[in-house]
Amino acid sequence: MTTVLIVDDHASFRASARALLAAEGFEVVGEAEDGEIAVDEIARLRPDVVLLDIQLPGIDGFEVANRVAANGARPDIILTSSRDAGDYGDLVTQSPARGFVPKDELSGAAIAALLDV
Amino acid sequence: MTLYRIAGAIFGAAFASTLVLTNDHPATVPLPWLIVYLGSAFCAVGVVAQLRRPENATGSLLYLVGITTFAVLLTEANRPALFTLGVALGSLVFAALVHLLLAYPTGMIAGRSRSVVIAGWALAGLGPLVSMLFADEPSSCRECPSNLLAVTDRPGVAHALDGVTEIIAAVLVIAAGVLLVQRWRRASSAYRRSLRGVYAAGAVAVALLVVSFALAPVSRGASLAVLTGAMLALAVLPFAFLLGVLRARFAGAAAGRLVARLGPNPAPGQVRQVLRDVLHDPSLEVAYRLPEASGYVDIEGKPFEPEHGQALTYVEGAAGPSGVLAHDPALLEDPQLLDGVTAAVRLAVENEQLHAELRARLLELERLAQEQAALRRVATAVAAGPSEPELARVVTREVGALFDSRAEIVRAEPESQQGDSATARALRRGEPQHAGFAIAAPIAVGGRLWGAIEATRADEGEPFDAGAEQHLAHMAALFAQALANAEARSELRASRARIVEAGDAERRKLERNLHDGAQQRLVAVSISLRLAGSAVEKAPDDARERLVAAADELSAAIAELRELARGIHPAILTERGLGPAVVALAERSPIPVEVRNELAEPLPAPVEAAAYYVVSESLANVVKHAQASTAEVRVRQQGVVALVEVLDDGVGGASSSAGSGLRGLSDRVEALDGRLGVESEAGRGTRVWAEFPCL
Repeated sequence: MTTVLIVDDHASFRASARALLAAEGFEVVGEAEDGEIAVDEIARLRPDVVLLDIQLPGIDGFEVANRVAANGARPDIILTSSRDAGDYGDLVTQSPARGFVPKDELSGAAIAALLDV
Repeated sequence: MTLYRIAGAIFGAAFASTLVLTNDHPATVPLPWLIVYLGSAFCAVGVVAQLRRPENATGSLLYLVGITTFAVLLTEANRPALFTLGVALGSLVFAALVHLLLAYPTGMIAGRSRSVVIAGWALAGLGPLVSMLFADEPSSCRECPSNLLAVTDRPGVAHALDGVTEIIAAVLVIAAGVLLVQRWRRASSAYRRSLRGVYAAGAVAVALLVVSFALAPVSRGASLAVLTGAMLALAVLPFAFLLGVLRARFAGAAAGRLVARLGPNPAPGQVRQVLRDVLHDPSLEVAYRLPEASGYVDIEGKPFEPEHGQALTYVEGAAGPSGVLAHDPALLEDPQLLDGVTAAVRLAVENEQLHAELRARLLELERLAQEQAALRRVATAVAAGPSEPELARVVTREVGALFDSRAEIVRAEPESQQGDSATARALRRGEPQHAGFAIAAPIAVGGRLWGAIEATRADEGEPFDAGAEQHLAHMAALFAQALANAEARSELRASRARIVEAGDAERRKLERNLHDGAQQRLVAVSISLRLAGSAVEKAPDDARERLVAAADELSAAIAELRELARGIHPAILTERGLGPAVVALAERSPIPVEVRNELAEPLPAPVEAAAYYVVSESLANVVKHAQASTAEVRVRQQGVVALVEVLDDGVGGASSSAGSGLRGLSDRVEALDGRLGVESEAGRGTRVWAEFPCL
């Protein structure tokens, strides 16, 4: 089963996302509530996929993705936000992340589609 | 009085002449007829002087010298009684002469002169008396009548006493001489003119008398010869006094000469030169009164200041003084001369007064034009909105040129207010100051002392005209206005920036709240609904649970959106007005809030909004900081002013400058020309008030 780390500062979203992804065949191996913790957890848990919220306290999702890439770890990073990808200009495409899913369109199928590209 | 004196003089002269004619013993004095002449001459001059100048004691002193001169001749008498009297009184003439010289020309003595005169009278009165106790007859005259006062005949003692008297007399004469020399050296040239004749004759006479006394013990013949010389010099003395006393008689002649020299149509300024010549006072100045202003000007129309120590004599015109002469005070000795001369120049001075007045007006117009031009240039510079240093440069340049001085702008620091300079005084008193070579005017911005403009001239130049500081004050007022404008502009800019920044911050907060609140909840609802959708067939219970959760999230999201919307702008304020909106705020407050709304009609919408936020922010502060048990909100309108107050019974100690919330409120209130205040004494609760003009 594909392992997932959920990174978001809102507990309610982490809970909803965990339920949704678990229901759709992913194994949620951990959660992180800010960028620093996320970097540590990625190194520790080595998940296949990181569902990474962009707007985090401290360092933001783009910075987390850059650091993870610089560390040599190669999880598939899926950026997410309740904002639209267009709100971030070309930051999403410049990022080492695999892709972007709006929070309200989050589903296992959407993640799987990005991983297949 | 005068008649008695004339009779006394005639009697004295006749009696003295009789004594000289009937004398049957050798003459005790040289040239007795010269002495008769001297007595008569001094008496006559004394009477004339007394008639001319009754207020001056010189006449009486001259007469006294005459009578004491006659007394000398009593020693020519053949009867012992008269002879004795003559010897006793024979020295008084010297005391009288010293008195006259030291008192001339005022007739008054003071200070050291007074001591010398008193000592002189004492010595002349007592010296001969003491000596006479010891000698039957004077050593100089064996054939003379006997001395009735002699107690014992010891010529040696008498001679020694005479020697002592003569030494003291010499000391007194030297002291008097020193005093007269000092007076001469201090005297102005006009004063010296009145002293010259008398001093010359007097000095020669005294010098010869001194030599005569000095020679007396050595050679009697030589002493008598020198004494004769002294007598001859004394013969001239009454004429010298007569000349001084009669100088007033020449006043008419002087005035006549003056009118003749001025001619029918004198050139402006000629009066001064003619007066200087006629009165022999090269320092004399003429100033003219400006009819419509106080103060005097010179012939060029410039403000007039007399030199230190000058005396002033006014030239009376038809309506009050038309001019004034500033002259040597010695001329006051001769009031008749001054009166005659001022009467003679009256018309000429009135003519010159018109000329001076015209010049003064022209000067004033010229000055006014220059001042206006300078003020216009400064005003033009002010309109361009220059920085403070630029403006200071323009103002100092214009002040320097306008007042022909060095100009500087001084800030109101504690050290610049120390001392007695014009600037320090202007700063301390808040009024323009004039200090001769410096003038200063305070600069007050918004009722607060900001600094001062000072203009200074080098000491060797001309001092500033009277009233120059008032003109400087005009410049200071313009500068102050420019500063006030600049301060208002910069305050306005800062306030505008704060309002924009507050708006931005408000929008950032709103976006954050939407993102973190309602949006997250809606995301959760969306996910829950999708989970419920996929579970509805396989696990209907699970699906129902998720639907309930989604409904709860939706309710919470709606509540948050409502709160947010109210924060953006309270609907109740728009729909129902300030009163109900404030009541709503009070009801939502966690502590009891009493509302006293005395508004009869709605306020303008911007005022209602600002007032609402004042109440809302203040109540939030009460809850957060005041530890109050109750609060009160009062809203009322007084005339054209709306007043909003929020009071609490909390700990107080709040400050209006602390907290961006109050600052934002203040900007909002001031944007409507209102004022916000906080009164918050520690322990006495807090009162926040705002007033708005509602026209």
